[in-house]
Amino acid sequence: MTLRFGTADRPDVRAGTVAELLALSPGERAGEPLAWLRDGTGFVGWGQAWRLDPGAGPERFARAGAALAEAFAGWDGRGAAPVAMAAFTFDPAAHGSFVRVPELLVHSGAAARAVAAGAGPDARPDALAPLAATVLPERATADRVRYAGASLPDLLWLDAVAAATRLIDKGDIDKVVLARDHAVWSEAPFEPRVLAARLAARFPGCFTFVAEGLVGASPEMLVRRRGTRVESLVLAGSAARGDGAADDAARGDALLASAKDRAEHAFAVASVREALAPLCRTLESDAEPSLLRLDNVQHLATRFGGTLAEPAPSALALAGALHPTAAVCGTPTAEALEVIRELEGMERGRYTGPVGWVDARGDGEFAIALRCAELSGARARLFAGAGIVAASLPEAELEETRLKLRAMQSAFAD
Amino acid sequence: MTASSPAADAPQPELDSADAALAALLRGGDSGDGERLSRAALAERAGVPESLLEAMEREGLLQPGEDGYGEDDARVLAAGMELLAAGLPLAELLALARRHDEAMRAVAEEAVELFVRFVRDPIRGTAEDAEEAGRRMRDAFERMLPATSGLVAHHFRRTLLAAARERLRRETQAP
Repeated sequence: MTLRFGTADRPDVRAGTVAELLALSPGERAGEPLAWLRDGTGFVGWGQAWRLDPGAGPERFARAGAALAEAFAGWDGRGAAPVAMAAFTFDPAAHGSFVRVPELLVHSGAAARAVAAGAGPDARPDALAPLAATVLPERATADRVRYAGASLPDLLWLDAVAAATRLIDKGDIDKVVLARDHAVWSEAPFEPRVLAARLAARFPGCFTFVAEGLVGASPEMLVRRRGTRVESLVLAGSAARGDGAADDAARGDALLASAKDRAEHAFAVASVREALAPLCRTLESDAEPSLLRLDNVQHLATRFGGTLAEPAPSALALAGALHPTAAVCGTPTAEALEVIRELEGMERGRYTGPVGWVDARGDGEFAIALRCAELSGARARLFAGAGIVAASLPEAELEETRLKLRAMQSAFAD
Repeated sequence: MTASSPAADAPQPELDSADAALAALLRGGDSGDGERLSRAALAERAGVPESLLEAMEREGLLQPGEDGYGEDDARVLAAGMELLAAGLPLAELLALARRHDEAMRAVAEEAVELFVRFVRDPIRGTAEDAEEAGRRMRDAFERMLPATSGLVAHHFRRTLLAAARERLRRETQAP
């Protein structure tokens, strides 16, 4: 099925801030929008002109890419390129991935621009559809947020981490990322746009996303593609922010000097290089990791930049080639995935999977869905994980995930 | 955060017999009587993974005596398991335990200081000989340890209940 498209500049749309963009209402298309935001700009999309559930299996990225190319075939190359948003499950065996082209998508920025899409030969996609400015509620739910338990009691999660370190000591694996969840409930439904607005305000440099119930703010760019230019950012190894500048700097220096965190980081860097190198004509990366400081945590970071070999794979194909990196799975990948399935005791769903957008040119951005929650009405699951290497202490990893969960909890809290 | 005991590592000056009596009491003060347990045996008895006990040892929340764990360690662990069974997540309980440990350490140091200044020093200054000083110190210590533990436990219970009542009151008054 191919789509028809229309684009228009929208000087009538006032979306100076992310909150204003999220609060736009397209009337009858209203419903939960898709959103992708960073540094105070981004896009919001409503309705569904086209949607694909690419099913399970490692080839779900290729299936999605091929079907989407067909859907985008009706674009004549004029105006802004139409955009699809997508999120994929972490585990290749899991269902729950999607790719969706919204009916109406509004980019904010210096000037708002709308791209409309419609299906079928008679479609007249209307990029000039009316958009009303509304005001978002201040809180994510009209009721209190209450704890609802975890898939795996964290006493058993602690023991799972100990079991993972034994496997690492035995030499079965080098690194594995273990995550846990934290369920919450409320008497009133959670509003994803409010959560997104709060996350975007607190973490402006992160990729904030709303993707069919998956809401979060990820610091980790899996891949960005513009033409033949490709970039990736590896984050692995983290420490808490300090009390005051001196303590903060000391913790940062300790992180940079930590053999345990450097080892964890090196595995993640190697896995990205291994995935990107065969697709690139040139590929550079930072010689040494640097510190990336966020509101609540600091990470070891390595930037990759390169030129793709022609024909350049789309952002979606690149995401498929990179996923799962050692930053969310482990090393070696296949063995680490088995350990996760065996020890984690929960379904990750789309947590730690690629989430992002790709346009009809193949350009796009995918982040790794970290620091996020899966919403379902008045229920939600929050997630956090930690990279386990030989020197990991289970209680320290438990504390790290507790601190990471707090970042999402504060977006939910009143 | 991990408990350190420099006195155990550093070369110790000779204790006179008065302080030696006190030192013997201090050694026995938290080991209790009865069967001694290895870490694995304690884990099995409490029904917890051994990894939890290892973690608690590293955090200084559980410390085996020279000959392993005692019945009182098993009781404390069982109490902790009650809290987990009631639904408190371990991560939150450990975080609270660290804060409690830190606060209690400061109070304990202050209490020891008070004992030294107002009990031990006067005894040493007024006793006829080291033997009498040792006996009086032992008497004082044996009276004071349960008294102090009782006071602290009672006070914590009262404070906890008051905080819970206050929270309930606020919630029922909330709009």
